[in-house]
Amino acid sequence: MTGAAPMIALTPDAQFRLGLYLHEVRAAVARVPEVNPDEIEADIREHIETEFRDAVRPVTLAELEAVLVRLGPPAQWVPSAPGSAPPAGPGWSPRAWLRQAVHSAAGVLWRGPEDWRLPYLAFGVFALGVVAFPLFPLCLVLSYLLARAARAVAAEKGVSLGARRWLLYPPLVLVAVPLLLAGLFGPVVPAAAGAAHELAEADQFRTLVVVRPDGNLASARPVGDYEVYRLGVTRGPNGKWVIAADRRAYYEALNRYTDAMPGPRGLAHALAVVFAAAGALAAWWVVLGGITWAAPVVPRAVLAPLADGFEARHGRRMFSWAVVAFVLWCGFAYQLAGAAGAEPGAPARPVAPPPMTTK
Amino acid sequence: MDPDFLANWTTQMRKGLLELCVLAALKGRRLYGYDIVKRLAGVGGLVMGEGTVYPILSRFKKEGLVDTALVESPEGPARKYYQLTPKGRLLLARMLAAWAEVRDGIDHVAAEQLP
Repeated sequence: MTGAAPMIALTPDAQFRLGLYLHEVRAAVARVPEVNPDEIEADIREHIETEFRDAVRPVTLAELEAVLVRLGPPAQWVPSAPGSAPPAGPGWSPRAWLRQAVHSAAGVLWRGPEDWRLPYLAFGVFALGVVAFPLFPLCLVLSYLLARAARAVAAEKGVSLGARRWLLYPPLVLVAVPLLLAGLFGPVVPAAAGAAHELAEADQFRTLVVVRPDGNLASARPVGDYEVYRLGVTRGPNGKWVIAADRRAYYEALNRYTDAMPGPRGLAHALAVVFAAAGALAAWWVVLGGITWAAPVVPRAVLAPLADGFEARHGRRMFSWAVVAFVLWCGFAYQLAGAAGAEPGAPARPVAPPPMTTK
Repeated sequence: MDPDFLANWTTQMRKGLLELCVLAALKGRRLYGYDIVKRLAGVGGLVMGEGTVYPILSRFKKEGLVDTALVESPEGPARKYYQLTPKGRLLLARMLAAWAEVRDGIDHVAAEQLP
């Protein structure tokens, strides 16, 4: 009853009743070696899930009870356990009964360790990595794969993991959490870093170097040719310094964007980066929401067990909110563009010129 | 006659036939557990408790008569589908033949006129 797949929402009393019923199920089938209690419990859970697929949540006790009545008392599902007592009648023989009893015991023994083998192995490899720390990355990957295999085996059998999940969670969670963070924010980090870099360069363009009308270069500090070249300032054929027009327009646009931010220059710069990152995040989540909406199996597979309950509706919700956020961001960006001035050469925030040296 | 005789006999007969019906429901197709249960529950008087079907499916699986496969469902979590294995198909054919033989025998005996 523990560690089962996430179920539909039930009221507390219905949840309690379901727990009792599943306990009855396990008790009824536990003595029958021909069946797998975990599998039957999983089947019953799926049955109940399907019954309430379109029901209003949370499901009440009365609604649940109606389904349980249709399922019937678990005690009546199975005959008395074969091997539990010598059957009476002319067909009975001690040898046949003994064979049945041995078969039953072997079945029980086989079923138990088999289901635990992979979880123990996964945890053992993980623990080895913790003890022998230099091996940790290798052990983590190996134990993660073993844990995924254990989950796949349990899923294939249709059984719940129960207490075994605690053996599987350490490697699974340790891999899934970074994957989750990378999936949610990964692409935004380089975008924000790129925006910060570009804005810093644009700021340098404004404050570090000036090409004088006579074609000489003045700079706030000694600068190398490469640093100057990187800002789009190059020497012309006549030996005079010139600034590439497209680079100038680009940097001026970025500077106007920064200048449109409130606060002093340092804060405005930080806000500009945050704003760019927010836009990238919203756009990325639109994509992410769309992907997970169309294929909810992807997050379930990649982020197991963190996203076991992920369904298409979660992806749809993420997509919808991200679209709203992105539209709002576009609105702000449009206003910002208006405030920054559309034309190159529009008045920008005055910046105190640094003392210049001539190159 | 014991007044419970008919009820007991009917119950035993249904239990015996339910296994045949579970296999027959899977003939030539794969179904998930809930679907099997609802199809059989639609056969009047066959299924006393819907849960009865699941231990049979579990036993059949262990005996290699059916296979299971998890299939993604657009309506929620993945569903476990059952389908007959070659061994299950062979057993079903034999059970159907045996059932036909019994049914025909009963019909023949019931229709037989005394000379």
